Amino acid sequence: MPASFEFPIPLFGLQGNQFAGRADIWKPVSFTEDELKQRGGRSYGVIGRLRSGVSSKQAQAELNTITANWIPRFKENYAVETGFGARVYGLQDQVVGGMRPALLILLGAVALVLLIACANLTTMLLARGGSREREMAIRVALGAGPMRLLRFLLIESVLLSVIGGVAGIVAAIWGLDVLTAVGAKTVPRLREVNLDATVLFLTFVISVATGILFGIAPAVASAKPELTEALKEGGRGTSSGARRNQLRNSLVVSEIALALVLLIGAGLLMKSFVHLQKVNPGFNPKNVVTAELSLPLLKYPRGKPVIDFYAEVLRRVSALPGVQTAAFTNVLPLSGSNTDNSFHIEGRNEMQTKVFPDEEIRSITPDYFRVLQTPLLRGRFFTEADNADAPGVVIINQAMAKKYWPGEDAVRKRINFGDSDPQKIKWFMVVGVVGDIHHQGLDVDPKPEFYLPHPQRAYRGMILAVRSGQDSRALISTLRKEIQSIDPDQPLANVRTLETVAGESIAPRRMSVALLGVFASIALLLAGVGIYGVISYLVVQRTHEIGVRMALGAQRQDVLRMVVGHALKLVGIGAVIGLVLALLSTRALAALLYSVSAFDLTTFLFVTITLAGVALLASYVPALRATRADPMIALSHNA
Amino acid sequence: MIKLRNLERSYPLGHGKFFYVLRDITLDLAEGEFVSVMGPSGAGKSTLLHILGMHDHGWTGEYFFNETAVHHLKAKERATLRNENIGFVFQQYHLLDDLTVYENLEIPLSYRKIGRSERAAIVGDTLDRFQIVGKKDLYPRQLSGGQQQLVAVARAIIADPKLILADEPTGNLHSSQGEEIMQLFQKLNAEGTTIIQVTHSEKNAGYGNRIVQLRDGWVVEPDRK
Ligand SMILES: Nc1ncnc2c1ncn2[C@@H]1O[C@H](COP(=O)(O)OP(=O)(O)O)[C@@H](O)[C@H]1O
Ligand SMILES: [Mg+2]
Repeated sequence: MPASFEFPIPLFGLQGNQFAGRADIWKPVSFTEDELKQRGGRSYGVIGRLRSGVSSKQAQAELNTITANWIPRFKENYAVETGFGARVYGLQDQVVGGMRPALLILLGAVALVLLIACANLTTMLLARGGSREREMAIRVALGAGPMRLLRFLLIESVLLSVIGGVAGIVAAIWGLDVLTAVGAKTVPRLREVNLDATVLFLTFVISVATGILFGIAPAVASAKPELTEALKEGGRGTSSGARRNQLRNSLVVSEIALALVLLIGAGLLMKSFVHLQKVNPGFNPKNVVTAELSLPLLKYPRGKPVIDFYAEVLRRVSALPGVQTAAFTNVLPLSGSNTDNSFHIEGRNEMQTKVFPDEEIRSITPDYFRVLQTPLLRGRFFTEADNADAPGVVIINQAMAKKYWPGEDAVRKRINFGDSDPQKIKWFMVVGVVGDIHHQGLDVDPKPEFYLPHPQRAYRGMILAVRSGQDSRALISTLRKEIQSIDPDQPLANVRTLETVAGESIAPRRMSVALLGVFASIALLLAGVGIYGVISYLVVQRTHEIGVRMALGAQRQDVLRMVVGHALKLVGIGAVIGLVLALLSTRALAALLYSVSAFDLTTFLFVTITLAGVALLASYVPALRATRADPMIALSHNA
Repeated sequence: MIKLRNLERSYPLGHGKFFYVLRDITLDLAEGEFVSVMGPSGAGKSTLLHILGMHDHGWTGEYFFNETAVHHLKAKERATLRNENIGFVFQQYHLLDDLTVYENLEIPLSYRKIGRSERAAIVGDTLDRFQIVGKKDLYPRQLSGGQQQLVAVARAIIADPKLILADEPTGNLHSSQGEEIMQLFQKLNAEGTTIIQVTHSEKNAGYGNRIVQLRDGWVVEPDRK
């Protein structure tokens, strides 16, 4: 779409290239007389702007009345039992609605990471506050008022959080480029995302505010030292010290709990993703290149010219060196587009059976399943002989055979698509049954589908699919040349490999998995750092105790066990809380999971063990340091 | 029981120089002795005691404990030997502030292979013996200095050591409290425990049967009383 083009209706108060990359040309819809009589096709969507003051509920009510009126008028097509009707969706829901759960979950993940970071900051500042209690006490003893002390501590934490905030924004500017590059095809309207002043300001305010809030708490705690105690005991096991230890411990426990929730979420998504990648799509996407062709109505009127053009393309493309097989289809699996059609089954009275068949329809050329390598289960594929004048034939997939002819052989059964003139009804006989294809997504069970030979259901827009021996991309320029030699005006659009098509179908998942994975890793890292910090501080704080214990008989491994044991206790409590939180919250993920339960035991176990491992490692280093401590130093006179 | 040969302890002063705290100590201490180490402040008494107690191992020379060459032992073996034989009373008590009297007494037992119920029995006996049963749930800071030292002594003997090392055990106590502890040591000594104490008090030294004088790191009067 040229940069100057603007969508005629201002959407959400926004003007501009919101549809860039989706369409190049807009043309008015027009129907022939015949087409207007057709009531079997369902491939158009209607878009409308509601008059101001009209709610979508009212619009829905009005549409209900309209469609309810059609039902008695066109009994053939919309019997009451089909549940025929129209549904009103907001355009915004339609455009971004699909990503909503994923985006909300990511938002939640960001909030959790922020919480963990806050807990971490507080832990660190608490440790600092603890080690500076004497300093503070001396300042107070020398006459520093509480306000002055507070100001001193405030300046410090503000400085810290401002530096953090600035660093975060710099990272965000870099990260955004990566994000848009990765997610452009995935998240609708991601292209429009930028770091505007509001976002920057808000982020900055949040980071600084949390920094101050969580920085000031420990500051206040250490600004009120019990003077004599702090000066005398030198920070050895005073009661305010015990309080701070408790706070520090509970902060680490919450860090672990929150990290566990994130890790389990990421783990479940990752497992879903792995499962999804293992799903057999029902076809082999390797070494297939696809391209869209669309014939203009004026140059290629209905029927024969269209059929002949595509037949000619196939003839030439198939002869190209490197091409194994080539075929056309009107819709490509996993590409996001679809068409369906209602039909009648020979010998069944819909009014009695209350079954009004309407399934996915595809128009293909004979070698289509050879290109896709979808297996033939019964009967035969189409041949050149199944042309426009030949008896109607249809190939159905297994899901359709099971749905309409359970326990029977579907081959030789007949269907028709109705006609306003009952004399003209054309029958289509099932000649083959093929394997199911995941059309709407790897995570969506295959739906019943039926295929008609292109000459018997000619579409003007078709997709060429070519299988070659090796990397199919090498073929693209040759293909283009070949088409141009048939019709120099005919462009080849949207050229991509079938692997790309399949890959793009799981791109939104890949992005959620990647982002949640990154967040979970950060959470794990932060939790690890938190544990390391707390245990390091604990070791310093308990130097005297450790010295005494070693003098009284503690061996190195006793000390190691004591310190690591303390860490493990924190991890244990955190893990229990985290697991409970995870059990309560993974349900929110359910919409994004594929063949993985929201309570998947292996994931829960594996993640918990990983977290415990990291925690163990993070506490082991300071614990080791503790065992190396010379008890003599702890026991020396001035301890 | 203890045989020291040319034992020396020094601390680096920097620039390749060393400050010698103990010089060429050669000393024999027999089982059943009650020895008082005396000397001015800074003479190296505490240092000597910590070496004997196997807390410190940064020394040179030879130290035989019941024929075992301590100078050849690894840290773990040294700790085991210490756990089996030695109880230590620190000059500053070194009770753990966050633990009750009961828990403080339990520490040495927890590092020896003693079952939970047996541990409880031993701690109970010891509380009885030191007449501090009523104090078992108190924290050190809730005790007087004398009571704290009493607990520290109790902790030193709780694992039934053959040798008790006590660094100025009465230094911070009233004389009556000090006497109590000295009488206790005398009683333990009579029962066969070897005792080495650091003391400034001639009176306390009178409870023992031998005095070792230290001066600037040298043993000056290694004679028997
Ligand atoms: N870790 C050390 N580093 C350097 N010098 C030390 C150290 N520990 C003790 N000293 C010195 O060793 C000398 C003896 O100390 P100590 O054995 O405690 O004497 P005391 O006889 O008073 O118990 C003192 O001069 C002391 O300053
Ligand atoms: Mg001393």
